[in-house]
Amino acid sequence: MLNYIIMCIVPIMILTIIIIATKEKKDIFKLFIEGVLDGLKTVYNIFPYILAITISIGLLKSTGALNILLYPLKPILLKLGIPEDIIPLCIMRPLSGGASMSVVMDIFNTSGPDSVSGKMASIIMGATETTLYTITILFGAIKLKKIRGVLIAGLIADFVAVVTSIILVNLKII
Amino acid sequence: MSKVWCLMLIISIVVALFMGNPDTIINSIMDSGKNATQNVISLIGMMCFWSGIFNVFEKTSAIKKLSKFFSKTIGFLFDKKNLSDTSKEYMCMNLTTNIIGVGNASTVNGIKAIKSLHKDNNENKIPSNNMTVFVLLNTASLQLIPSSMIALRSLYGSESPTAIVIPIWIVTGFSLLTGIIAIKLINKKI
Repeated sequence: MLNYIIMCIVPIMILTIIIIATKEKKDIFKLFIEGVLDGLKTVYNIFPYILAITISIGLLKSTGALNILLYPLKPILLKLGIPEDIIPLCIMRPLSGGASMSVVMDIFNTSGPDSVSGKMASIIMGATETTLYTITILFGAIKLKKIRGVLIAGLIADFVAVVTSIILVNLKII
Repeated sequence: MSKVWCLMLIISIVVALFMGNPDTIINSIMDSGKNATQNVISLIGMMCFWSGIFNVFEKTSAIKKLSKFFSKTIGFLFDKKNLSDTSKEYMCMNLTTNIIGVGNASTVNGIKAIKSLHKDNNENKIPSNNMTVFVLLNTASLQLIPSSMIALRSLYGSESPTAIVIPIWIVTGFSLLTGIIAIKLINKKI
């Protein structure tokens, strides 16, 4: 039942927009086409940023640099009570959505979605975003190089999300 | 951003050279290039569709009402002096799509919003406080119902796929609060 309601949200949103626009006698088709053209330009403009970020993260992973950089972090994270199989997720989550999803699937495969790690992974994945990617796209769209403290604040928020997820699961709230 | 990116490349290349696998560099760039292109190509259709639909929506009067509702509820996060009505409308479309969980649509609306905020800031090279707060809101997952996670959990045979919904709200709440406090402090200092 809940699943059915979830599936209905987006179609209903589209329907509402069309009904409102019809009521106000807008030229829906013309506006839609204009918007699509705008969207096409946007994709064209953000592509260089997507390529740049994909290449740099791919390089960090494939050359093994990421593992070397994170080597000193591991003992600290283990001490904080973070299970070992969650650590790669904590690190990949802000960088890449696809890679962190595959870490989650891996955890589900080995320990199951209702295990301690499985629950932690589900909550972390659902409560955070791909921080670096989002920042790159949004600031890329206006071609700004200075981003002030957004990256730091975003990463702090992600860290808090990881810690609270672990606390919640350890307290056996779920 | 430019520094972070350069550092990532330099470290990777130096590590590859020292570890004795310099060939991975070019292979990895080739793979990433392919992946990025495939991802973007597969996104174009959906992004353009949402861009079209929201172009219809932003020309109706409903957007004004929604925008008013948002200014009343979360308006306190933003500095009202340099905030045009257009920015408000785009930001509220972005937040709505974020909450509903239509990723592509929120990207489209987010880009429009940041462009408009950039204009409010007289296209200054240094982002305004409003811009940093807005981007931060986008780096937090505001999605109310984490549908893809629920689907994945039931796919892997979870007994209660939806058990994570409330914990996710709690966690998002905490992380969003910290993020906002952090960005507000940073905005004051830098």
